[in-house]
Amino acid sequence: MQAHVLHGKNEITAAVLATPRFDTATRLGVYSLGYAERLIEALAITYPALQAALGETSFAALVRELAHRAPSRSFSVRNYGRELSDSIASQLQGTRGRGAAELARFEWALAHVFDAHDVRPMAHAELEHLEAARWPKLVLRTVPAVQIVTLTSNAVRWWRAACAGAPRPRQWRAQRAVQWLLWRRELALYFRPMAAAEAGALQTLQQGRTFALLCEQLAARGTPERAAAHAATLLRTWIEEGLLVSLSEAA
Amino acid sequence: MRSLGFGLGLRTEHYESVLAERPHVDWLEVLTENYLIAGGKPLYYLERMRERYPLVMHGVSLSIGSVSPLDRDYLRQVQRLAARVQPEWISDHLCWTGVDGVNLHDLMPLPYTAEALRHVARRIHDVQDFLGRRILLENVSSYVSYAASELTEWEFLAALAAEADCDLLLDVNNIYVSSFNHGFDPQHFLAAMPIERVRQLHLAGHSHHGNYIVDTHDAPVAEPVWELYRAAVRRFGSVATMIERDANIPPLAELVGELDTARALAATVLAESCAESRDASPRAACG
Repeated sequence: MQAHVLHGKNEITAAVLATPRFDTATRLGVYSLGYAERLIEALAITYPALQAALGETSFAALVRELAHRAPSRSFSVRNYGRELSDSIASQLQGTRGRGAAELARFEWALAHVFDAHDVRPMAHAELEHLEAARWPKLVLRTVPAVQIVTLTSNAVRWWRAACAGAPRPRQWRAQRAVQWLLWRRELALYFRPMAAAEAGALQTLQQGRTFALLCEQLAARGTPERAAAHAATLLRTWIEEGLLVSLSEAA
Repeated sequence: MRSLGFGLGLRTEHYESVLAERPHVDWLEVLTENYLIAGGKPLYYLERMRERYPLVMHGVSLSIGSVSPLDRDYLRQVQRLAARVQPEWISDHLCWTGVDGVNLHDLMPLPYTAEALRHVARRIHDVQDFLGRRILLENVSSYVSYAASELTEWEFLAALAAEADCDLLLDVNNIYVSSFNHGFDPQHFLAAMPIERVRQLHLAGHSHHGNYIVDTHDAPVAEPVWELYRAAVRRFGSVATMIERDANIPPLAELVGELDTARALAATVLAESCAESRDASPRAACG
């Protein structure tokens, strides 16, 4: 039966009872056609902007192909569809293909942000009274909802247009690559572009490195004597935005 | 056992309106898999609902009929969610959803054989031991039946409840859909169900294609299903009943209205049954 649903194999036909009113092909068709339709419906929830950008027919064709080539292996349909970005990249050519693949990656990251673990964010007061000797070895963690996505297209403009029901942007091409920071604070979703230095610093934190190493990295990227001030500014911003885990939770 | 009353399947579209309107609903059924996540909005609302209504958990991925091993990771997550939610009960479907690690995200019917009965009963025992509680199994709508079947669906389900010591969730719409598609009398199905095992009823809509019916759960309850519900109430008495809408979700008030219809209909049937039993035995008490 599974082979029929996924690959159209017909061995199951002989095992199924039918009536003239409701023949075998129609009976099996309810399952085989319903299979892809259900996943198209589910992925349209995960990828609403992608569906709007590609159009329902193209989107459905992509999901249908994925559903038969790489079926779900998760107990939850919410977890299905990560590979859609790769499918697009291999099937759609040119800047449209690259842009749509990036839009898929962006929406997949948003889905991760939505469902990420809730933790208590850090408050400014936690660092104000930290002893100076502790700073170099201080390890700060980003909240689980933090995602960093690098986009070389203007996929975010396409996303915004789809969400607003506005006309599609004219093109996918962007002036330059941008690293986007995505996160959630309580139930609200946020994202903004980052400069390369900030993105590098956040990634350093995500790797579990110390504050001293973060400062070294900032020094190597810019003016060494301003590295500490730059780090302090970044920390203030990140705490303000709820990007860092409370030290009490990290302990 | 006291009935929970009349409930609704909680859908994300109604999170805010349920909290704001506090509708006349006795309990809510939540879809287990929607809450097997680390955090975020669904779990936030789940906590709010938990503060206001009794909850039951309804799953779609147990795959109790599969020949692949039970997914222990899934069961662990269900167990953790149950510890958090403290549901009145946990239910899933008498079906398989995939083999070899695949999940078709559909409720596939089983061949109703003695071998399948032993197999599924063994797995239900495993699940109930793991979760430390009885589970409810729901009959699914089906479009195929297998030449290999030795029992009818209702014989299989009744035997399974006894063999596995599990309870039953009867979806009245699914009984009707399958009876139409396979040409059996739905009353036979109801008559075969062990009354003491039936703890919950589902009511839902379907799509009629002339020659066959597809269980879409995307429309109001159809008249033949209401008729079958009357028969179910006559047989099973006061059983927790809910409206289940999975697609084409209408405003909350519409579903609450449908639930009120079920409530009124059940009250009428129970009153009639009570009057009949009083006529037969004047000292009988009706609760």
